[in-house]
Parts: sequence; C-alpha cells; structure tokens
Amino acid sequence: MPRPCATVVTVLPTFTSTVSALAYSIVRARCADASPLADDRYNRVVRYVLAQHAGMPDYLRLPFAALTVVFGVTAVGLTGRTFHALPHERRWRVVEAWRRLPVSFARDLLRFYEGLVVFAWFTIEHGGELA
Amino acid sequence: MAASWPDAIVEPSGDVRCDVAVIGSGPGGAVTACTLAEAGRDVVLLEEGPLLELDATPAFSAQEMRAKYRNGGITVALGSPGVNYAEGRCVGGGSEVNSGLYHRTPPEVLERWRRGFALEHSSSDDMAPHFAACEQDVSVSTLPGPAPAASLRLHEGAARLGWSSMEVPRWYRYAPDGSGEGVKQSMTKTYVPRATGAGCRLLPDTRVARLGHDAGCWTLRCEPVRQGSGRRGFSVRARTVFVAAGAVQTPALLLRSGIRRNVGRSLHLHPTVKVVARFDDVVNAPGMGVPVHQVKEFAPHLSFGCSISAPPHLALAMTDHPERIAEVREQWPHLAVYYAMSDGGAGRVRTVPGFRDALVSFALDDADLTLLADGLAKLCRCLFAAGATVLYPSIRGCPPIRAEAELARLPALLPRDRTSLMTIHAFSTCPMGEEQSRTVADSFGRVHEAIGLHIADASLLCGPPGVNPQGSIMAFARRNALAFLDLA
Repeated sequence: MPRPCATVVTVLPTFTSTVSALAYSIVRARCADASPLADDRYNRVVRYVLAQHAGMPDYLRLPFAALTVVFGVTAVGLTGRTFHALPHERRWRVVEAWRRLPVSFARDLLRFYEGLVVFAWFTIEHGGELA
Repeated sequence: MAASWPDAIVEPSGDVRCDVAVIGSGPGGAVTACTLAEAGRDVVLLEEGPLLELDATPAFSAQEMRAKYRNGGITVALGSPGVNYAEGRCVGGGSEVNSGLYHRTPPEVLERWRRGFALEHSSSDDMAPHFAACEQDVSVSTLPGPAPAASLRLHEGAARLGWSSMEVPRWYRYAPDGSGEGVKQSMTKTYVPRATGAGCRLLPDTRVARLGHDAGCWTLRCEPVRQGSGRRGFSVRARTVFVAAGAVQTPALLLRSGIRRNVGRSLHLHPTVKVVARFDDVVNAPGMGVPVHQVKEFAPHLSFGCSISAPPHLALAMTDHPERIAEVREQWPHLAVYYAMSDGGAGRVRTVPGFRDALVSFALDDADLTLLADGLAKLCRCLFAAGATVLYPSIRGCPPIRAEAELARLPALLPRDRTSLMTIHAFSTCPMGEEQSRTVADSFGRVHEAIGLHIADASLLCGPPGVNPQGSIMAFARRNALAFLDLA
C-alpha cells in the first residue's frame, strides 16, 4: 500500500509532462487534424519547446517552469486529474479557464507556449527543421 | 567548419597576450578589429557564440534561432507591456541574422545627440567618410529587380496616401545577372575574414566573465562556452580593450567588472507592434525574400515596414488571434506581416548576483503607448490603401479590422496587458559624449576614467536613431578606431 506522501507526489504534475500535454493540445486546437498517435511531428514540437525553455535567460527559466507546474496543478483542482492525464477536450477547458483568469501572467504563459508551438508546427509543415 | 579561415582560430592552451582585445564580433567589434589589424596592431577578437558559416542554417528559421541567437531568441525586456527582443550570438553577431537593411544616421538625430550629449565631431559631414567607407566595404545596394509583392504593397499604399516611402538598400552582393540572387555581406563575409587575414586572432565560443586592470594592463577572465570541449578558463592580457558585445551584454560586462557610472541606465529600443494583413490576391510565396520598403512619412518617431512573412512567422504573429491561426494553413499566400516601429520608452540593464543573464527592463509611459497606437492606426490605414481586406493587430482580444471605417475601434492607447511588442534594435546603454553626467564614454568611445578601455557598439549611440542601426554602429566604430590609431 503506497504511503500518503508518495500518493501526493504521483498526482502532482511534472513540468515535462505538462509541457508535452499542452503542446499536443495546442497543435490539435490550432494547427492540425492529424492524430497524435500516428504523427511524430507532435514529439518534435515538444522537444523543441523543451529545448527553447531550457535556453531561456536564467531569471525567466525557473519562474516559467514553476508557473507551468502551477498550471498543471490547476487541472488537478478543477478535474481531479493531472493535466496530461486528461483527454484533449477536457484539457482545452482547463486552458480556457486559465485564459480567463484576471491576471496577465496566466495569459502570458499560454501565449508563450502557443507561440512556440505554432512556430514549430508551421516550420515542420513547410519542410523546415527544428534542430 | 570555418574552412575559410582555419588559421585564425585560436585554441588557447594558456593565457593569451595581445595589444588590443576586442570583445564581440558583431558590426561594431568586427569593424574595430579589422581597422586595427589592418593598421598592424596585434588584435585578438573574442566572441561568445560559435563560428558558423552564413548559410549554416536557413535564414530566419527555427534552426537559426537555436544556433545563432542568444537564448534561442527568447529574451524579453520586463515591463508593462514587456518587449520581446532578440540578440545575435555568433561570430558576426546581429549582422548574421538580420535583414541587412541599411541607413545612415539621420542628420537631425546626429544634431540631437550633439546638443544633448555634447557629442563632438559627429555632424553628417564629419560622419560622411565613415558611412561611405562602410557602404563600400559591405556593398550597400538596392535590389536589381522587383521587390517582394508584400513589400511593394506597403509602398503602393503609402503612394496612394501621398506618404513618403522608400526602398531601403541592403548590404548585399547581388549576382550581376539581375536575378536578385546574391549573398548578404554580413561580418563573416567581410570584416571578420579581413581582420583575420591581417593577423587578428579569433576566439569563438569564449565568454568574457569580467575585466580587471592592473599595472597598466587589462585582464579578461575568459570561460569556454561549449560544455565538454575540454577547454579551461584562461585570461587575455591587453593594454587596450574594445568592448563590443552589444547594448545588453556590454553594460552587463562593465557592471560585473565594477564599472558602474551611468552604465546600463539609459537603454533605448525601437518598440514595434505588428499586424497581419490579408489581401485578395497573392502577396506571399516560398522564398519571398526580404521586404525592403519602409514608410518614412512620420520618421524619426514612427516608421512602417514589412516583416519576414514565412508561414511560421505568420502563425507566430497570429497568436494574439489564436482562433485564426488555422487560417494561416490555407491562406498564407494572401497574408503578410507588417510593423509600426517607434522610438519611445526607456529602460535599464542590470546584473543580479547569482544570475548569469543580464536583467533587462523597459518602461513605456502613456505617451509612448499613444504614439505606438497612432502608428498602428496609420499603418492600418496604409494597408487598406494598399488593398488589404482584413487586418489582425497584435493586441489580444482586438477584433479583426475589415474596413478603414473600423479603425476607430483601435485603442487610442495600446492596452498594457494585451499588446504584444517586440524589437530587434537595442542601444544607448553606454552613451558617448562630453556631457559626463549622462555618458559612459567620451565622444570617441573611450570610457571615462578607465585608461585603455573603449566601447564600440550600439551601446554608444546616444538615443534611438529611428532607423535600422547597423549603419550607425559600423560608422562610429570605424571613426573611433581611426581616432584611437591617431592617438595611440
């Protein structure tokens, strides 16, 4: 039987899984009708977004990572499940709820990821390389 | 890599000695290193970024951002609104990644700097020989054939309104067949190989952590940038140092080195707001090329132009209208990105203990945001005159504008929490002049009360030039290097 603290840890979203799920959902909502399961382009976009985050100025990198994890925690609060464990439609409701928050940093976070994801996706769609 | 200049690359096994160390190989540093090396000085040119051929990555691509930009192109001046900015970080600096658009510093701007900063010997007549020499060195020229359609549209819209618009020349060597093909004359194609050809030693992938001064000599504490390269930290010793690391990194290095008076306190940018325009007919195509027209009717405070408009850039510019991004997939040949650029606002560059990257902040007051809003409205008017049918300004929640009559919907003051601003032009963090209360260096880039320490980049410009700044940077670098040779 798992210890209580271990249970808490397993429902907490990680930065990487949240970014990955968010990137998948942004592509599906904004860019593509292809199925993620049959399409390696999704993973290439995720790798690009993670690499770009890793290269950010140090005073931005940690706050963005923390805010991303907080975003993932919002999903736990709203749905009882981590963001990356939700189906796309429910993830997108979390995104829209976050977008409606009356604080600009919430919208800025989503715009940051949306910008990176669509730039990467359209690069791939038009024959470009990401790395 | 670097097959053209293999002998110039230095892999230091210990400390390095030279007459002159130049930190940064962008337009300011490259011109300085070349001028001094060709005059017979023993020069070492240090660059934090890698040495990559101009065509190592496709121009304006995601790969280029990763390889040649600082922080992968993700840098922001904090503020409300924040301003995204980009810095080149490779041998050749910004010249490797920019559009290559060339302007001389406008005479009225030089006059403003003379009056405000007691900047000596800097009139248009004083500067003319330096502009002319640089223009020849980098082959400043106009297009041999027609400009891209999206660029021409802006020009046509301005003409219909009776506004001043011009084709901006580029530093570009065009093929003689009139095809428009050619090679951008970036620093790795011009001044850097000339410098190394004259004996300058080049140290890429080398970060200068701080400067120290003792016994009449400067010591540069250097760190190799690439992890696992096997290189260790080392020092460069030089009697003279030119810092040319750009308007953010130059003040950051001086601050880390304990040189603080007026340093980093007067950052200026060209804050820029974008709009995506849709036309009924085709204005965009694969490999469209660099748009070259700019509307100068309201210069120097406002300028309008057309941006790189490849589908990834269009999609990025549409992120303030996320529900419309899908439109880019089908409609991109009918879409192009345009910009309104202003000269307002002021900011700072700071260093924070424990952080490697410089902290940049920038403030725009209501008058600055009103000026930008006015610029956006005028740009939109110009685009409707050019035949645009729908406009998408970079303001979150702003509905698409479908007719000139709807321009009244645009805010008179850009909303701080919903406007996306960017720039690729930063300057003025170490202004030059004889007015010591507000400058870091004298009229020729010599840092006050720091013998043998010079600045040679956009940091020196006393304020926003209102035009693409590389021409100003190169001309002042040449002028100041020649002044150093006369005095040295």
